[in-house]
Amino acid sequence: MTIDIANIPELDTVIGMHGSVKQTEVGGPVCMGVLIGIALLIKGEDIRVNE
Amino acid sequence: MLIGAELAAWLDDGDRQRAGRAAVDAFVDRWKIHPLTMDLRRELKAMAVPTAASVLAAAERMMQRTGDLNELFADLIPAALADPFFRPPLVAVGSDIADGFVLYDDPSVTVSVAVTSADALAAKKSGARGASSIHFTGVSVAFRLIKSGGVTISLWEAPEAGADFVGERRGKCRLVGRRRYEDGEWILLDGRSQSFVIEHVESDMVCLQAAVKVGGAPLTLEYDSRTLDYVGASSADESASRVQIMVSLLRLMGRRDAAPVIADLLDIPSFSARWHIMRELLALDADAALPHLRRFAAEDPHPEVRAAAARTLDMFFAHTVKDAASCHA
Repeated sequence: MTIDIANIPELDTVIGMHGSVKQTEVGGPVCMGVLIGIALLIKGEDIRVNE
Repeated sequence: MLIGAELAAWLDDGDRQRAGRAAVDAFVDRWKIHPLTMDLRRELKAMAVPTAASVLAAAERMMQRTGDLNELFADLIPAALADPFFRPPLVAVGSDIADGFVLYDDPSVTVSVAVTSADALAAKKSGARGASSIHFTGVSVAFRLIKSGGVTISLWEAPEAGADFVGERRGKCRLVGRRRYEDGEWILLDGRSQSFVIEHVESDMVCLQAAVKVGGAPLTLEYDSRTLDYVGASSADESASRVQIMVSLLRLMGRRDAAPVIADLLDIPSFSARWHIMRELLALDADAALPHLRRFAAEDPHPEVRAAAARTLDMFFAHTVKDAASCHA
C-alpha cells in the first residue's frame, strides 16, 4: 500500500522546528541573547573557548 | 576588492599577523586556567545530578566575581588597542539590539556578557511592523545588570508547557509586575513559566547572563504582545528537530531500507516529533508503520497523537480490520 503523506492527518497543535518563531519578539530574553546556548549547540565543539 | 592602506600593510606583514595570533593564543592559555572558569567547571563537574537550580546557582556565583571579570577585560583591552586586527578569542553573540561574548560554555550552562543598545531598542520599538510576541524560552536564566541603563522591565507569567501540551487550551499570559532596575540588580527567570519585556531604557545596558541548558521545558512559547493570546510554540529539543528533518529526507529519497531505523525513533519524547516521524514512516512503508500506528492509537501519552493515529487507521487501514475479521469467520 502507498499512502500520500499529504492525506495523513496532522495534529491540531502545530509545533515549530527548534529555533523557529511565529512573530518577532517585542524585546525580551530572546533579543538579549538567551538562546545563545542553543546557537552554540548547533555550531558545535569548535567554537567552545573554555574546553 | 578595494582595501584600506592599514589592512593592506597588515596583509603584507606576516610577522605582525603571527604576533596577533600569538597574543590571542596567550590569552586563551591564561583564560583556560583562570580561577573564574576553573572554579565553575569544577563545581559543575562535582554535581552528581545537575538541576536547573543548582547549575544556575553555580553560574550566579561566577557572575558575582566582578574583580575576576574586570581582570578578563583588562587583559583584552590593551591587545585590542595595540592591534586593530586583534580578534578576541571569545565567541561573539548578538541580536538586533545586543552584542556580546560568551565567557563560558559547557553542556549545562552558557555564561555571556552583552551590551544592549538603547538606540537599537528604540528603533526596534518605534519601527515595529506587524505583530510581536512575548517569548517564554523554556530555560532558566539569570541576568546581572552591571549597568542597568535605567531600564524599566515588565514581568510576565504563563502556564508551563508539559508533555501533554495542547495549543488550544493555552489562554493568555499575564502581567505580574513592572518596575525600574538599578545598577547591580539581578533578574532571575524560570523561562518555563516566566518572561520579561524591556519597556524602556535610558542608556545602553551592560549585563552578564547565564542560560541553563538542563531541566528546561520541551517547548518555547509565544504570546501576542497586544492581545496576550497564545500564538504558537516551537520545539526546545534541537536533536528532535534534526531527527525530523533527517527522517523527511529519507522518505523523500525513497529509502525503504531505512524503515527499521525510523521505527526505532518512534519513542522520541516530543509528541510532535513522534507524529511527524509516524507520518513519514506511513508514507515510506505503510506495512512497517501499521503495528506502531495501532500502538499510538491505543496508548500514546498525548491525546492528539492518539486521535490522529485512530483517524489514520480508519482512513487507510479499515479494510485490514475487515479482512482479519472475515478470515476469522
